[in-house]
Amino acid sequence: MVIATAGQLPYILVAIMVSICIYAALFKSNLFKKMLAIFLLTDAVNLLFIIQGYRLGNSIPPIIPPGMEPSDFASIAVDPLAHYFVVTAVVIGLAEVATLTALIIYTYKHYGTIETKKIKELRG
Amino acid sequence: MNPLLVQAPILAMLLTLLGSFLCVLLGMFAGRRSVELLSGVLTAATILLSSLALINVYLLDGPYVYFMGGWPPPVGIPYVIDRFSAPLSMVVSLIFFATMVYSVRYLEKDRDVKWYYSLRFLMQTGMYGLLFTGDMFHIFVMLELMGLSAILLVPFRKEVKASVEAGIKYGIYDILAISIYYLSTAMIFGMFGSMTLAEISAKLAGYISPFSGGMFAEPSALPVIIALIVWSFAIGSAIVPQHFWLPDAHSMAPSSISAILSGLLVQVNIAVLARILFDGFSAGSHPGGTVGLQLLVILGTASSVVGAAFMLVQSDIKRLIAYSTITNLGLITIGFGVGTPLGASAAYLHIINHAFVKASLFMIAGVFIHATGSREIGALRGVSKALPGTSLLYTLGTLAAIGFPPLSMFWSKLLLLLAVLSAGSAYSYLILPMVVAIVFESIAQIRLLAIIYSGEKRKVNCRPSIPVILSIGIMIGIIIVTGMMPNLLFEFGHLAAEDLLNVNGYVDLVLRSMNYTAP
Repeated sequence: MVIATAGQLPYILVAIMVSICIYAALFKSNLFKKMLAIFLLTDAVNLLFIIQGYRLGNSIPPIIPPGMEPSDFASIAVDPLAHYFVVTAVVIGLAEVATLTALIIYTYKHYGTIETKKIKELRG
Repeated sequence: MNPLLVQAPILAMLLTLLGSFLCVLLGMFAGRRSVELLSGVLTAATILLSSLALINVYLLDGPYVYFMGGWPPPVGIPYVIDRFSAPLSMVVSLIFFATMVYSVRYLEKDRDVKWYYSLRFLMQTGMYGLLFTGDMFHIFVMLELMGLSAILLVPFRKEVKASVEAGIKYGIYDILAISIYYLSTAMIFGMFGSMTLAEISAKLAGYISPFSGGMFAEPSALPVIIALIVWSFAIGSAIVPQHFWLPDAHSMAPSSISAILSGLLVQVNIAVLARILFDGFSAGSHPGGTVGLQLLVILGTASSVVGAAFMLVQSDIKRLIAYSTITNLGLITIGFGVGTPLGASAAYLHIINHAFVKASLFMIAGVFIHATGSREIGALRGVSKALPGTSLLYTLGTLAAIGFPPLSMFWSKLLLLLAVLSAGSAYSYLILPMVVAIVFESIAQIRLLAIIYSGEKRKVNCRPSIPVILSIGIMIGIIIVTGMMPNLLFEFGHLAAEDLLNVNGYVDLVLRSMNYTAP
């Protein structure tokens, strides 16, 4: 019995990564672990984009060879649009890291801890 | 087509983006007065450009699509300037201008204001982008722009312990929400092969795109995608049960920022969600989008009742106003979730009215906090005798917030109740939780008013300056004037709902350059 084909395995990996990350981001009490979980979630989605842009089998880079029909080319070439999305998201992820790290550093300065259970100034 | 009129909304966006760089650059070499002058001039210019766009959409060309960089969709990013997005962008410009005038004196004692003005401009850019864009991935980029600048502005007074805590709480949950939205864009890319909202809804109806062909996969997973999108925007716009960050973030931010967060940011989130559901997933005509609307009704009902119930037990004036935001957002969500033209127009009007009311309430709360040196409601006893003018403005704002006729929010609340009643028997039971929410909110607000007007005259630390009163006065003036002209309001709401709910018109508008014909 075949549980999953070779083409489905990367998607299953993404699903596992996403579930672990959402769980960790919501239920871990350490702020730094929460932050890492969120960025790992973004990376899992980046992976999902790359998988969707990839063509299994004899794929070629997205540069059209002379004399090839555009429709034939589109069926075997790797989709560059997915890479564009990933590059943009990676750059945005850098801004996210900077923002959250700065805030975590200030939290540590004020409270002396980054455990959410010990930070209880606000009622929520 | 006048090129200046066509490009006015894009110019407003570029101007704010430029302003955010210039503020920091100028702040390094010149004093804070020059930074304030620059941001004041640029913010005033955005009002002018937004009103040009409004005139163009309503009186001259009608709704149109601007191709970013000249690339038509689905290759490029389309900016849809129609009767749904143009008035909202005008609201954004007006509130940013009023809070700009307000913050010059409000932030007198703070240092490093160049970063404050710079981040404010970035947030404004993000809001314009979110309102106009017709591309799923562009929404992600603009959500980040708006969200990150808001996250950094909440703990602007970083020496205050609680504001840093509110900032990190807001930061973690907002970035998690945006990451979940990013996950849903990846799934949409896999299913549709396109990120343009118009192409997504056209492909659901059977359209074959010249670039990406038809659907890449069966739309059986569509409810999952829509649930993810609704979840991410529910965190971003603080709908119960994802509301816990809002009272902290909105009460601990500087009051000028609370006004923007509560008046604009959460409601821009709802407006974008409505755009995605109605124009992207053809809610109402396609079962996939309809799942999203049902989710909105359930979450909105919970949100309005829970927010109003928490208002009754608050002892901090800014937290009370923040919980009122949750209630009103619940009402707006119900309005969109009902899915009828009347519901959408009522929700749209409530967005506009609530934006002005909530911005003015937060700005006056900032004045009270400066004057009494305390955030507790009990400390406001007798403040009306010391600051009669400000208290009068606060009274007008509160009366508008509880829906006292003929102030503006009375009309939108009335329209919301009518929309729910006329939407069919499945929805008419919603009238009960909505009325309960409105009554609870009124009790809490009137209790606050009673405290302000009771007691002996008390000593105050400082009196509000002329620009502060002027900026609040503009807001209250808009509330009174719009309340006096309900017909004009209804007309705006009706036209906006027409543009929002007419999926075929939207798709035709965006894809006209691709020789689109309905399948």
